[in-house]
Amino acid sequence: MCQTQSNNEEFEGKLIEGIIYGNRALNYVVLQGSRACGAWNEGNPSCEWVSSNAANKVDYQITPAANEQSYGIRKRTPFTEMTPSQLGLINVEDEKIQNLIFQIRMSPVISYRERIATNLLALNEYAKEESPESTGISLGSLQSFYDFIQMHNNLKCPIISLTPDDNIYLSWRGEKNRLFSIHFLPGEEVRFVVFKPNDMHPEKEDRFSGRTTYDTLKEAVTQYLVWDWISE
Amino acid sequence: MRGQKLPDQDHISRLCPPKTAPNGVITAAAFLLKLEEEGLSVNWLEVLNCSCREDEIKKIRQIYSRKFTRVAKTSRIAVLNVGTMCNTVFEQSSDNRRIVVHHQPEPTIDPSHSEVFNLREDNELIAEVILRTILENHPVSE
Repeated sequence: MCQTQSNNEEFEGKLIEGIIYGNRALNYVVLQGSRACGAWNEGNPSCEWVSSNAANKVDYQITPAANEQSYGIRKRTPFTEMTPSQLGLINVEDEKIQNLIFQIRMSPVISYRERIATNLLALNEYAKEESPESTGISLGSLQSFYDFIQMHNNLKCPIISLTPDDNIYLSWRGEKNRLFSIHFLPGEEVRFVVFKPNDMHPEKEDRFSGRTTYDTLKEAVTQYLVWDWISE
Repeated sequence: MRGQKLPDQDHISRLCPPKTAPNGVITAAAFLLKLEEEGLSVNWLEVLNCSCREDEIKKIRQIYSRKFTRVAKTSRIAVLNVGTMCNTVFEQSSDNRRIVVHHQPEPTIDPSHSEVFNLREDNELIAEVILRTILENHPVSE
């Protein structure tokens, strides 16, 4: 049974939502001000799983739809204008994205996995809302990000956003205007930015940027002592 | 073809969709170019001929409503001073980049439309510098 269609009945107070997640769909209740707090909690009596076949047949709405100026049922008209092959590609890619986010949430080694997964889900929907042809977060970027946070499991929770091309962009901000940002490109490469006080003249700021792969990033920024302050 | 260069003392606004401003916090991602995009779209506030910032933001909201089929309600509007932004980027970018803002009006739909030029899609450092020069962060919906 799936009750995901047109479930955004209220925009104030309790919001009943449904979400299709990987090869499963889940209904859950979100209170205003909290985001997807019940997702993946199988102990939550409001959760209900359905098969992927059933899930694929329904339209669904999640949080960002409630942010649109035009309230009401979100129209999916752009999808009807796509060819079946285009639609198929989007569905496959979307499922991979959802599965990766699910793996992040379930990974025992990732710090802040719950918060990160929730943020990624919201960003993914924002991206799809902005451009109906979009599959959401760039899959290649998400894969690199996933591998990166598995490698480095003691990091403070970053601010996560998406670039205009839907790549993942992480930022940490520290004391004395310290900044470390990572742009995860669709391949294995990342571009990074470091702002830090100058060692000899703390009133001055050093600014660096570079390009490397996600698995050598830590070594690439070693000289800037970034890991000292983004780690817990 | 580029239009009039905006004066340093004037102000621009940039629409920051929620994917670049999660929880209302604008990130540098809002100032990155899309692949193959030539300029960063902004709006010239003084050309709207309003008496105060509040009215300018109201007009900008109306423009967005007309121009875009949907604007997420959690989007933000960043306001920046042209001179501060351009000079800070010149001083703080590794290649002393001279970014410029030109008026690129879209008749009837968006007469205040302008673009920031001399950016590249790999300009994360410059985007972070621009982020620092934001003067105001307004909600896109009242």
